[in-house]
Amino acid sequence: MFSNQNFLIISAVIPSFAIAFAGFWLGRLDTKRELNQKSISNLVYYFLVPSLIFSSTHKRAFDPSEFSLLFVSAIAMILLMVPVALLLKRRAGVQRNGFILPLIFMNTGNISLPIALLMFGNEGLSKSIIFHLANIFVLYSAGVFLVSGQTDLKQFLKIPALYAMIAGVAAATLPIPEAVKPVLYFAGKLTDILGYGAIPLLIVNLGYSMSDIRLETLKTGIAGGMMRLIGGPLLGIGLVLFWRMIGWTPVDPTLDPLIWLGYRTSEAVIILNASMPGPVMAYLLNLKYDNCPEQAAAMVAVGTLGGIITIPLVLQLITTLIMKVG
Amino acid sequence: MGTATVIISSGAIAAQFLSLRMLVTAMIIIVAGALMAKWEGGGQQNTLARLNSQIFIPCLIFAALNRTPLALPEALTMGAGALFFALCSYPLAHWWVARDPEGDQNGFISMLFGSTSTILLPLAYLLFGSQGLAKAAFFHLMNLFLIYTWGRWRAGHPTQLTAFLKTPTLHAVLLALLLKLFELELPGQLQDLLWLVEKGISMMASGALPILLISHGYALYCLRSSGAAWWSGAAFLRMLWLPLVATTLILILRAIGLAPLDKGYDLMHYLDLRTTEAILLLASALPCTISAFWRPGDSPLSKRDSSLLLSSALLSIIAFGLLVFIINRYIFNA
Repeated sequence: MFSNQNFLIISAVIPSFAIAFAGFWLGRLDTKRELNQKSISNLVYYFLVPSLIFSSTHKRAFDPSEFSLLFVSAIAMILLMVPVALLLKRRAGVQRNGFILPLIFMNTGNISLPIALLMFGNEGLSKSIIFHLANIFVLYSAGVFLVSGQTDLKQFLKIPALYAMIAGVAAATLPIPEAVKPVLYFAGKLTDILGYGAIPLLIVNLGYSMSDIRLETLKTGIAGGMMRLIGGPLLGIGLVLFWRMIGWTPVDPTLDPLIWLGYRTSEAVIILNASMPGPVMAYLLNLKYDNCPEQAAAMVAVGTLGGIITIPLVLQLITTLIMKVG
Repeated sequence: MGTATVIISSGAIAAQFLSLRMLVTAMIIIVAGALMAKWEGGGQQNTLARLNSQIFIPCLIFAALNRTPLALPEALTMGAGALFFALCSYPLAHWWVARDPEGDQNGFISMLFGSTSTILLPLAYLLFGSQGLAKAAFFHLMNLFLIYTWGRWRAGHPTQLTAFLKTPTLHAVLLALLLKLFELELPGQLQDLLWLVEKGISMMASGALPILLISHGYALYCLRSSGAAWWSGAAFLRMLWLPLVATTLILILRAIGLAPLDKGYDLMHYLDLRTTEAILLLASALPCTISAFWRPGDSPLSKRDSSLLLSSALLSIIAFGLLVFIINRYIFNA
């Protein structure tokens, strides 16, 4: 009944939203808020996500140009959103800088990673992880500076995902002695199993967080949330076209098909991540430094809810414009 | 002939090696769970137990039952096996509780039931795939029913049959069975949507494996930090007794023709029966149930019972290793 292309998109989005709904439902049932989200976050960020990152990076060859493309793209996306966010901030008559945090940063973890995996496979997941790392690197440096007037690079250096990435890249690139290979193989299998837990728990956690939202508080976040969802992908597409123009992601049909597909996957990952709503982490920073937490919560919530509609549309755009051969 | 023997025996060695590697993997994840608990200072075992019981275990079981053909006699065998284990553990439980200086009756639950949710389900899947998990699911369901009813009553708590009927695990089993029984012919689009929902459930199911094992490790750390001792003679006795019970049960099943050794024409059926036996043996090495004690409103465990739980969990590591060897050597490679 669905065309192959539509079915691919739906199959990437529906399972994720179904799991998010399970988390939301769990949150609704948990009226006394007995579930400790900090504990779930600890499990995800310190055990499962690093495992997922190692398991997906150590299996594939490391490409420095691909790494720099995604890293620079993430930073460029954040920078491109700054003027838009400042404009909205001025129009809203808000003085404090915390307002722009959920507008310029993207939820590259909870939502983007599972969709990248389901839509573009392990390759998409690995690339999305690079984008994610760049996004949180800027969040913990410039983002923290915006809300508190100080940077928190120490926090970034404490992220286990960073070390998992380094270990994965090292395992994929450095010559491994024969004696160590069985250990590496075992570590790969172990992290495979642990990594399986990351994606469902990331989404369940997001759904659970959403269950806390009261509809009447969403009004203040409509403009910001929608700006993130509409402005993000448009700027993402613009950025991808710019990379093509300067030859960083060539579209030459004479290219080796695998190389061609690799570039297109990178572009797809850039646009997908650019279309993500504001991250929950941005709201948590706003809350920590008491810098516009209500507006931030509303923008993140509106963005996440709106993403149910906009993300499939962006995926449709990606498959039509980017992944199409010829 | 000589070459064939070498190939077969090397295959058996490879199976042993693979099983042991899976077991070591599971143990490392359990240790990671304990480390996480230590780092957090413990106290959040309820969060993990709730995630498991309300989302991950039902998804795991539904996914396994949905993709595995399972005959009713085998489901009944697994259920009966759980009951048989509990009944055979009763004298040991009675002795344990009778010797309690404070007259604490919680020991009945500890002694009678194994930790099916956090250990049996993931191990069954890791070692024997969906087929093993589907069988373990019925063992787990019966175990759960007995804990909620007979176990709680025997331990002096009110029974919770209604709570059992509300458990998502039961609903997942019933839903999977209903879908299998009626083999609904849905229109194309609906069939596609159902497939997508199943895909989501499968994603959750694969996520359940590490989370169940981590929560087991987490609970063990909490037990240790509550002052539980590493060693309990009763746990050692239980660990010797239950494998004997399982072996007896397997011999009975073979003798009465429910698990014939005759390979017949259908090798898959033969392997299926051996998997049933393997799950029963694996279940006999389970440590005392842990998650049953993290229900709100229940009285906390005594130090004596905590030691029993912790000690049985540690002893089960050795027992699993031995039993996995026995399963590969004497059941699958007989």
